[in-house]
Amino acid sequence: MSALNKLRSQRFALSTNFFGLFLLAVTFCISLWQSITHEVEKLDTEIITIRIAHKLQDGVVEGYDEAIAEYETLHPNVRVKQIVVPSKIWNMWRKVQLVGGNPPDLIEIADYAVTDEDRSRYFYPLFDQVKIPNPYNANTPLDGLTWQDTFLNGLTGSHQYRPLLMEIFAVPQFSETNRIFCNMRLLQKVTGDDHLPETYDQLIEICEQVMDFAKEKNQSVFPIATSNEKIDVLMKYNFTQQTQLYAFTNRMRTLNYRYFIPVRGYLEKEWNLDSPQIVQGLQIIRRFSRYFQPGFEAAKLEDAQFKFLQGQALMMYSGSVVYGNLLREANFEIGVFPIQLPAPGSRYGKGVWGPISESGNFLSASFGIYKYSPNLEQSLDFLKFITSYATSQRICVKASRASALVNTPPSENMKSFEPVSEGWLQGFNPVFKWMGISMHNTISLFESNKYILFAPKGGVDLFISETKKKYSQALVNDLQRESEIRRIFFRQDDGQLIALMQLKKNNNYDMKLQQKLETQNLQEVEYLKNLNAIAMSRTRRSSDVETLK
Amino acid sequence: MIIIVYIRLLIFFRYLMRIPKKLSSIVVIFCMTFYATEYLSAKDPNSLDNAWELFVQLRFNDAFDYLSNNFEDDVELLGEPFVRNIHLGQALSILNKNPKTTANTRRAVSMLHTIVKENPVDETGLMARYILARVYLFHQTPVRQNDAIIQYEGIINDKPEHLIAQICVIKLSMLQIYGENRGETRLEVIKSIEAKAPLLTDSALVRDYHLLLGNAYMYFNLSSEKALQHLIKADRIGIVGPISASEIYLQIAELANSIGNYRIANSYYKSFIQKYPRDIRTYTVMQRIAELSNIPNFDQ
Repeated sequence: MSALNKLRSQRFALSTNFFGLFLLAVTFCISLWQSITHEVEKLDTEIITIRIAHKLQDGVVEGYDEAIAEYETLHPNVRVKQIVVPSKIWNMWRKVQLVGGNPPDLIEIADYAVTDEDRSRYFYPLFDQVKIPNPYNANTPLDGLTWQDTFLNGLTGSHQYRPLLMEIFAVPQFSETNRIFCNMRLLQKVTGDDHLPETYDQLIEICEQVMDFAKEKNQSVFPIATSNEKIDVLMKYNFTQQTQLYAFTNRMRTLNYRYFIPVRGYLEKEWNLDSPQIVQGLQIIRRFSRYFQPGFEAAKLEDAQFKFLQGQALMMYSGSVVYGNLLREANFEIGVFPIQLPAPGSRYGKGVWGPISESGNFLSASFGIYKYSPNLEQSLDFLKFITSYATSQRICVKASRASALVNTPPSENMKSFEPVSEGWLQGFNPVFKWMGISMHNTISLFESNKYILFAPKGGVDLFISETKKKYSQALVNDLQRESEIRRIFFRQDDGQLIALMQLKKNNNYDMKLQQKLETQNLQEVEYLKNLNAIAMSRTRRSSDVETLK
Repeated sequence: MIIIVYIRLLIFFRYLMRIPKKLSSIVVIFCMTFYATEYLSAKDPNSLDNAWELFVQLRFNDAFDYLSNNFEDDVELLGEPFVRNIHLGQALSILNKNPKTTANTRRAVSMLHTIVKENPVDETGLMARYILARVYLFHQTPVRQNDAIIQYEGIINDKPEHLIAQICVIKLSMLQIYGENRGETRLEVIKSIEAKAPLLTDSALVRDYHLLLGNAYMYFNLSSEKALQHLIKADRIGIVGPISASEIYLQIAELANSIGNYRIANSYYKSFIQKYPRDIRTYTVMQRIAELSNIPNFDQ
């Protein structure tokens, strides 16, 4: 018996060895084939191959496939290869490619991980290019506009224009908005009709109906599925509406109250966490939290999506980026509407002017060109092609996304994602997340106290009293940190300034020099104001200590 | 220098390589012509522009390498002003290159002091003095604000008409307005700065001066009328930054609206809408224009 077993195990070992060898041979052949075909391609000097790399997103790949096929028909001597990289490894992959010296010709650079130094080192400056019209827009509604003017934000967004470098390094493809997605079949079941809410009160009423429905039918159904990240978006949206008053009364008269102005405003006692606008904003968030799925504080986007697609949530709050995927995966009709917040004069709408404008919303999928690309001209041409009126529209239809271009009507199913342009100005977000400044300490403080706001035994008052204890210090620490960062910027600025003065003698650098001077002077004033606010807060704190003594 | 190189090459070819005398002279002349062409193209004053280009792109380490590799030997041949510029570039690149160390800052400061010692009032000397003031403010801790002020004042006194001195007027005014209070009220400080207006001749800096004062009048809630006057003057010269222009249009419109100067308010609101139709504030501005049209006897 044992001899038979031994024989069997020997046979097994032999067959696994053969299988291993076979696999090795197959892999070798595949590699050989790939390297042979690769060489053949290289030797064909008539063909220009350009490579475009971007993060993996549903529908986008198919959209680009179509655009590439069309471009290759127009330019038979050009081949375009699409490189799709999963989001999780995107940053690392891109860095390795750039440092390795053989990156794709076109790379998505729309995120904060690309520093100014990297942009200037690796990416082709587009400032002069965007000042002339995009030839692919001829005979379209964008005919005659400069390439820059064809984009919704005029390329002034932080992912495209870099003030420190006074340069544009990327152009965007899509426009993003946040919306509530609704399971229409479930809505019919719960409310008896298919009317999407048009006001805050109607939204709350539907949420209450879902809660009753779940209790009555003993079903695990929740009104809204969301993710941790989108709660922060909701907070931002809600607070910037609640605090519209501050944008109107800002003594700098810019009809906004942003960047460091609200931070200094707190330290200078213009507002505090007990201000009615902040309390009201927190009350709305707490109210909403009752309707989110259990464990929403730690939920990822995929978790929320899963609950929604499984029919365990009537609605889902997320960005337009997920819409294509939802359409493909859902076995029910999806309704889309903007988040409804309290109307002026309503219970939670005191001091509110109205819905906030979504103009100037985030433009995503910004592509830059590798500076040392051997196919610079062709890459630039392809970039113009995919951001032209007709091609952009086709890509957007395929990817179920909205276009970053002006005068480009959305497809029928994307109409609900059109930014609300008839909206009022924005105030500020006391969490200071996604407000264009780095406020790590303040954000962390909110993150660590958020559970108090959402816990059944917690509440708005408790949240405020706990947060207040460390809020001022967190703001001062962030302001100090930011001032240190500014100091580094000013050092670099001075290097640039002297260089521009030197170059002015030989070349036409005067405009850049003027721009540098203007920007630096304005930023230096803001820096000094921040230092004043820090000093003032310190003086106040020490005088408070004296009074206590 | 040229003769020394000639003799060295001649010895090399004639005695070490044992090339016949006539031929070796031809080879030496050929080598020297080649060397001179290479030398001139590398050390052409315009090639220093390549280094400054790297500064504009914030590539300080590359700028340092470029200056070190291309202008290391025989740099004296290029003449004093050029050499001083190279030294200024080296000091600037050392100040900003990574890793940022105290030793590097000290080395750069010492280089800047040498440049100033050689000639404090030529353009390179003024630039070096300006950078020294900036080092006191932004490179060293604790900040030496008083030393920076002394540098700024010195530059303004020595060459008031130079662009660097005019920049110093703005920087000094900033520190006086927002820096440590020296016993005067903010209004007194601002008025004393307004008296310095004749010092400024460069239009870009006149614009920045008006922006600075307009901002200060608003920030300290001193006078809407004065703030408006300064901002309008700045706008007439021309705002060049794409983001600051939109802010300044609205500041002018809002200030004018607040003091009842509806004609100016209306005109700037309209300019804002025309130039920034997709700004987040556009709808609000349209409502502002509608409000203005309801004001009796307001002629648009």
